[in-house]
Amino acid sequence: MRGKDFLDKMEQIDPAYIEAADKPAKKKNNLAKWTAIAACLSIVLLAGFFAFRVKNDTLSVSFGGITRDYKKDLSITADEAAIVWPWEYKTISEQYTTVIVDGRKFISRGRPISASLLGETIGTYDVIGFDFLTEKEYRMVSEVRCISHISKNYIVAVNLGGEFYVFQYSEYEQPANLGEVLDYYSLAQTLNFDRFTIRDNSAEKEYLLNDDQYIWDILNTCRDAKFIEKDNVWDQNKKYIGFTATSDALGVYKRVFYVTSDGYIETNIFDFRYTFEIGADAANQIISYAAENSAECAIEPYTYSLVGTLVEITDEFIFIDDSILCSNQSKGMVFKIPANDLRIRRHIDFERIGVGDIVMVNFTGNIDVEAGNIVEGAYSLSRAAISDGEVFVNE
Amino acid sequence: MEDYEIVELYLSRNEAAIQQTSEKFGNRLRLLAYNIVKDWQTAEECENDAYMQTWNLIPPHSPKSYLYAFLARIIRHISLNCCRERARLKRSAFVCELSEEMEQCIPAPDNVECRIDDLAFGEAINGFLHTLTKEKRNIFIRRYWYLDSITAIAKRFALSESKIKTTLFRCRNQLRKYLEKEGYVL
Repeated sequence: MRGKDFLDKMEQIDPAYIEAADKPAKKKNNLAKWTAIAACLSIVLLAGFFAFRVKNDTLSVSFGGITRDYKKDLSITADEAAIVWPWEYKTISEQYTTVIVDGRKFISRGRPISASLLGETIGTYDVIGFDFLTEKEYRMVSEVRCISHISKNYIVAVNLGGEFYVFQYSEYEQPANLGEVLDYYSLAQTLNFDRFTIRDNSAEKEYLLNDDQYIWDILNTCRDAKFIEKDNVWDQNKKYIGFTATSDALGVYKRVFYVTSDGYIETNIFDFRYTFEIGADAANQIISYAAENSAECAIEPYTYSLVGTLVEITDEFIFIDDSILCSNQSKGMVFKIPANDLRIRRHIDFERIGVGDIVMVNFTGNIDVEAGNIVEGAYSLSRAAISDGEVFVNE
Repeated sequence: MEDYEIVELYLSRNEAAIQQTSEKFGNRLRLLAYNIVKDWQTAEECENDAYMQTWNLIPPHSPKSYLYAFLARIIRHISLNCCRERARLKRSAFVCELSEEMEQCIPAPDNVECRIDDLAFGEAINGFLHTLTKEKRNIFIRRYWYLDSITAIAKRFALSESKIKTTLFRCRNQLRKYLEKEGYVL
């Protein structure tokens, strides 16, 4: 028997179980909405991939600072497999994820922090990792330090193998008001509002903001704004702007900080949803200021994607040829993905992705054309399927 | 109309049965098919085929107390086959991945045609599902029965994607051990 048969045979499951699994699940906490937003981001990623100018049957696609002419109407899927990596295939920040400092449990945010943002040393503590495959617990003694301007009760930096990573307090604690959050995390120092999106006639547009000081001044006048627990504040139809929230000190990448015209701010920076009612006056001052002091820019997707045929694997690079997507195949380019990054290498060594496979690479940097099309910031590799009449993945 | 009344229509060969089924379950069934084939037109074709098969299967079946599950099972089967027959359909890659995941549940996968009959397999899989907590059971079923993506399951249960992956991984291991321990030859 093979997996295919097993999948088919699953239809023998008791009807009562099938019905039960189709009932809406009770939401546990405020994380639900943010998961939905994350899902939206991944759609944006794919939509952004082909969201450009049309020339007959050709689509000009921009990613990583370059533009490519690809065939129109290609359909690409790269569904994730439910992989739990063996311990040796995990990066050190994936291996060691928990530290307890003076009775408070902190969980890794998986993001490195530069030494210039570190504060005083808190002490040395056991950092704990757990291997789900062997159910074995690992420990290493590491230095834990404060992060400049941020309360050590909420975010700390942990040394893992010579590099510091951001760890966040794991429990859900409701702040009394906005002032507490502004102070605990020194948001005015640790977070820059330099990019935002706004929905205009159901299309999203993105803008670069010149200076965010005025916004922090306004938020500072709202320090007494109460934390809102209600789950139904959000309404996609209301007017809002969403600032991109990326911060090395907070260990967050492209999260979101909404300001709605009816007087709320809402963010997922702290994993749990934080909503405060700042009042319509303050909110509209922020929205107006942002509109008047910004310039429209190209929409920046959550991450970039590169799709093509894996044509060669060396110790240093894997080579991906995008001819298969090109309207003129002779104009295909070969891209070099650094293969010494474990997050890429493990897909080759463990997942057995190999030469000839159609693959998708996700990356956050640029493509260095002068260095021979090196893709910077590649962090994942997956098998992909392209359907346009020429390529497909068979079972 | 109550489920048992719709089944009565089928049993009496009254064609209004299909219309009533479509009105009551059409959206859910189409969504289920779409979830597998990821194409609305194909999903509609699967839905129509499912009504036709239901018409042919009732009687002899009489699913008065589990009509939705009965219909859902039919449309799942049709949708999966549709994916495989139309290999160009982009969804086939996903079905292929799910098959690979399922293979991890088989104590000794081989190329021999399935040796376990439906009744015994049903007994095995339901026995295993009974050992799981409600949440784990629902996650497992969402992935391998409804063929949901990890992202969709995470959203549904308000859990992180890594938690879902871990839960599924453990469930697959538990299922393999369960089948080994109970002596099922697949």
